[in-house]
Amino acid sequence: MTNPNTGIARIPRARKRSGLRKAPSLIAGAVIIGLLICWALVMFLAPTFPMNETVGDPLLLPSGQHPLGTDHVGRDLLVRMGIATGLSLLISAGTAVLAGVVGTILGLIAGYAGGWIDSVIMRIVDTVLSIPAILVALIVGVAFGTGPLPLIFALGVVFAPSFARVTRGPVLVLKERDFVRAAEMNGVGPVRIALSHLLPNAFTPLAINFATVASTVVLVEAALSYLGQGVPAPNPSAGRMISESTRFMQIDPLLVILPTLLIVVLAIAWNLLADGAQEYLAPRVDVGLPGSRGGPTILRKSKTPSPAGTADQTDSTETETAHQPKDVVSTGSERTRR
Amino acid sequence: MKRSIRSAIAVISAAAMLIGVTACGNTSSTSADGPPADGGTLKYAIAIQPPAGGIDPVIASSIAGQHLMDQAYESLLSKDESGKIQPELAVSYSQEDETTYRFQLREGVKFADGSAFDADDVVYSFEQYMKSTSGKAAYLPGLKSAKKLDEYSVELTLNQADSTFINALANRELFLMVSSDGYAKASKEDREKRSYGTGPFVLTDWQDGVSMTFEKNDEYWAKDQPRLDGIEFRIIPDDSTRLAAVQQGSVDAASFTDGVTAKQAAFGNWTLGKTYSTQALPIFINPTSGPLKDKKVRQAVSLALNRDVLIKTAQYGDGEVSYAAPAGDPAAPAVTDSTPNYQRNLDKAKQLLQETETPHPTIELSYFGDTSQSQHPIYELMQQQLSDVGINVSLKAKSTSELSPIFTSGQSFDGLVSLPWSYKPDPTFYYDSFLSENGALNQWKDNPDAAKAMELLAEAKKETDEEKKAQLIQDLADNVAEEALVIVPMAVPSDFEVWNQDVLKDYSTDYSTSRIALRTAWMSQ
Amino acid sequence: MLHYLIKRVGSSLFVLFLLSLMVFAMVRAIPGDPVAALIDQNNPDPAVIASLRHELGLDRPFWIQYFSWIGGVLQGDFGQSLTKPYTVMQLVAGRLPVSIELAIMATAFGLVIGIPVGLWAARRINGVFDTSSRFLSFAFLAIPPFALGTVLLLLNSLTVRAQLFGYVPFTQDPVKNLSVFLLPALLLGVVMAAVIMRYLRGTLLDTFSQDFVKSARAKGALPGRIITRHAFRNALIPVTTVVGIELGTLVGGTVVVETVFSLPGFGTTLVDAIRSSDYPVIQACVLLIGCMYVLINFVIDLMYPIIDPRVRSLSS
Repeated sequence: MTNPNTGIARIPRARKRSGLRKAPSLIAGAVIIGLLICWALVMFLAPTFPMNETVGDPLLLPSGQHPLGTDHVGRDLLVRMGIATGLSLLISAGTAVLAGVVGTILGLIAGYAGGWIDSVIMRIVDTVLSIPAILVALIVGVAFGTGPLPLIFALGVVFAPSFARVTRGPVLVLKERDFVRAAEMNGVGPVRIALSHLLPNAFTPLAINFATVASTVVLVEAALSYLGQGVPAPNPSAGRMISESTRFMQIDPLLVILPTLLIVVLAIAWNLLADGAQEYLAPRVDVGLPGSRGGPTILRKSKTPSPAGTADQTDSTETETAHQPKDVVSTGSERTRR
Repeated sequence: MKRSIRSAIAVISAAAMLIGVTACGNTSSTSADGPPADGGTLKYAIAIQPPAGGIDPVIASSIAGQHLMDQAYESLLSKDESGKIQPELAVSYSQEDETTYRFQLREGVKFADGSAFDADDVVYSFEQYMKSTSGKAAYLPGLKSAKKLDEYSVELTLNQADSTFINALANRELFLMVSSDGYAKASKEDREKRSYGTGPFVLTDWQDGVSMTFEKNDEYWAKDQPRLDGIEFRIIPDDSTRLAAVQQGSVDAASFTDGVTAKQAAFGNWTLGKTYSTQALPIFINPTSGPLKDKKVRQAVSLALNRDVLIKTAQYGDGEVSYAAPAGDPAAPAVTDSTPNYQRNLDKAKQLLQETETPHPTIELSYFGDTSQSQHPIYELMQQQLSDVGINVSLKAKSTSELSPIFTSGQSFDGLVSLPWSYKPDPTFYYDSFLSENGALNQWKDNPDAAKAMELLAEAKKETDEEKKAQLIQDLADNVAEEALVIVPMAVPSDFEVWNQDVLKDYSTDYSTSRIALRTAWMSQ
Repeated sequence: MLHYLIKRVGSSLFVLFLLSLMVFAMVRAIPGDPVAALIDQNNPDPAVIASLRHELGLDRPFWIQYFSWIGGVLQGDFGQSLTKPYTVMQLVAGRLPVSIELAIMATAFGLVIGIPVGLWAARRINGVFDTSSRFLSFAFLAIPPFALGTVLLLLNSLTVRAQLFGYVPFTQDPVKNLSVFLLPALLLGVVMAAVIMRYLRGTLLDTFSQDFVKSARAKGALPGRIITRHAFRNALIPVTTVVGIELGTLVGGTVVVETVFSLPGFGTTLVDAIRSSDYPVIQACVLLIGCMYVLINFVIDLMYPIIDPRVRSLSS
């Protein structure tokens, strides 16, 4: 079909799904996390057994009375796993959010401002990156005590640098692009540019980093619980449960499998959520390479190509690359590499 | 424990053994082994390498280094299974008066480098110990002098009478004799990484974090010892990995700190050696503030504990009821039904609490959070048991670095703190840290509840008659239990040794975990 | 360019100096006493402790301790470990190569697996390969490597009984050395591959929808060529960033894998030092990690304009 205004063949888009249906990962991730939250809440508010008390023989297999069995001290595992889930969720979400906010701001500023500001910020980032997480957690633990909240704070500090670095990269590229230049020339303030031009375009690596960080935090928290930071004994924590139970692995593997599964499921859920959020908020119709399987076919080119620089492709770009905001004038004249 | 799981695992293990390479031949080592053979290098998996001080006996005081030092060094005397003193480098000794001891040395002993062992070495060694800044000096309560009488006899003089001295000397790990030749000339670094002793083996190679290799000392004085050509100690920090090393057949023997893992290693040809509960778990008290000021609260704590259940459930039976002096020490008194406050009695505990100002106290209990993970369930169960009488325990799992200032700089602690310790040469030493004048954990100064105990302790240290001393120790232990000056849930084995009986013969464990039987053990070819 | 280099080196040195000061203060702020490892914990004698502290110079004022240490460092003397019978140099020189070898092998696995998978998945978007590799990468990112390692060792113990661990230096026995590193490097590499694959796929897809790709395609360029010549280089920036971060993490932070596979590595050294308050070792290790990050970031920053000329030169 030819666009009457420009004569350019419109590349047919893949079927545009409406609403949430265009982000199945988002739904999957949200559903899993929602279920985990429910389980955690139920176990927290109305547990079938007290979470820290011996209520049966140790190392029991799942039964009607104890749906997930008991641990090596005779505590019910269904309740303990539920609480551990809630705590893991809290810590990983809190950390990723804190680190994301702090790190992204730093990365935006550094990338956009450039110059000595960039240097200073990046050098600070390098410094923080070099300090081992354990050391930071120990210090924070001494200053603020142990528990989920100080841990979130400590780990937020530890992971902020990765967000800063991951944001800065794309920003360095983007700020040279014409649409940013144009906005600058139009007098749009730097904050607005950063937030509405730069940030959305850096969203993909950010979202991926969020998921990676959240799932890494679950693992880091395990190591830290081992050292006495984080969730204090005898409260349940997936990481600590794994290290406490490896010596029973050949006797009752369930004690190791269950917390591992918890970590895996939680991490998968985070990944799905982040993927889905990105699909939903900044949908790019994943058409892939034009011409390859799954991609659209270019029917024909009309004889009068439009001059580069006009907005003739805005309608297709709007939907396909909608992470570019609407007030942008797309040039389409990217330099191709030889 | 569910029987079905265990039998299932047993079946699986048996099946795996059939699939596996190792033959399931003889499971018992009988006299059909034949006469002992010489030769072979034993591969022994251990958990940690000696930290600060390496294997320099004058400086090193860590438990990790002790059994390694024992292969290369010896002391003047030693003790047998029942705790009786035996000759080692000294063939006999006599006590001239209250403060003077004479030792007749063994003749014909040579150090590994060939130089002769004589009185000069003994004098030199003691001078080193007296000067040293390690913890060893603390075990020499006022050694005034070490004097050479002639080539093979030495006289040691104390500042005052002290019955613990001979016991300290007879401990294999305290006062090891170093060479006044080789050791004296060696640099600090060499002393920590090489051995200059009279023992059956010599340290020849130490690869940091990987292994420590000992070779046979050809000059060793005892006939037919050692039979092994050498021992390679492989350093494998993780318990599960060490278990895997056993199962994958890359070592012939291994030691574990956790009974559950050790028992999994002991199947087929592998056997678990006899264990001795020499690690008491004393929980020290700060009675200067808080609810624990009141003796009745402390007694209630002890009465609320069900020690048998703690041993059975939290430690899977690997433990014994004990005084502060651990039950596995032959010199320690045995707990009986009449030991005060050791039988669980909930009614009495609640009644005692009612008589105090704080019938529902909250008490903090700190313990090592980053080590001895197998012991954590003990404290968790204790918390539950104490809540049965209305005592609310707040558990604090702290890192080693947080707890160490308590015994290095006498930093005070809140409530209760559990600091497990190990076998000590003399039973009075178990009470020193919290009852004697300089004890780092002594919070009982001027406290009338502890007055009698401190008296008994001082007396026991001076009493040289064995029987009288034993009685004093018993009285001291009972008094401490009565006044609840320290809470001891149990004593546990500090070490579990497993070995392949088809490969290593004539080996057995000992209560001081010195692995001394390695000098008589042999490998089947 | 030279100007930039000088500025960069200068600011890096400043960072390291700041880092040294920070870590020096931090280790003394947290609880813990290095002397604890040197005395008999069962029978502590305050006099002995005091004299030990004096011997180690721990009772001097903060600034004197700091300058005496930093002075030594500048001359190449990192001091003596407080809890092990080695100088810090010996300790690090012995352990660092192990971690570096592990990190390099893991990164190699990660790149070798991750890049092709990412490329192929982006090529056939939403196809079977794409969906299944995305799912697998989720899974690998989520499983704690030490749990997986322990399980694999257990399986080995019950079945094949290969000798999977027991470190020997490369110079002594190259074959055994590589076989010992194989499994842990693979475990870590697979995790890295998952990260690389996802970044690569994500940014490749972003690139595909850009106009220059459509133009190239319209001009008749083959999909494969488009990927390798045009899209790939665009996508390299985030991937390089990520590899840099991960590589840094690998050298310093693989304690649990090192423990499970019994490798005497750098991560274990650092954690042991932290637990026993071995100040000189902690300080040296953190400084070393700092140098490494500074170096890696420097190299990556240099690479940005090479990969993507749109990045205005570094003097931005």
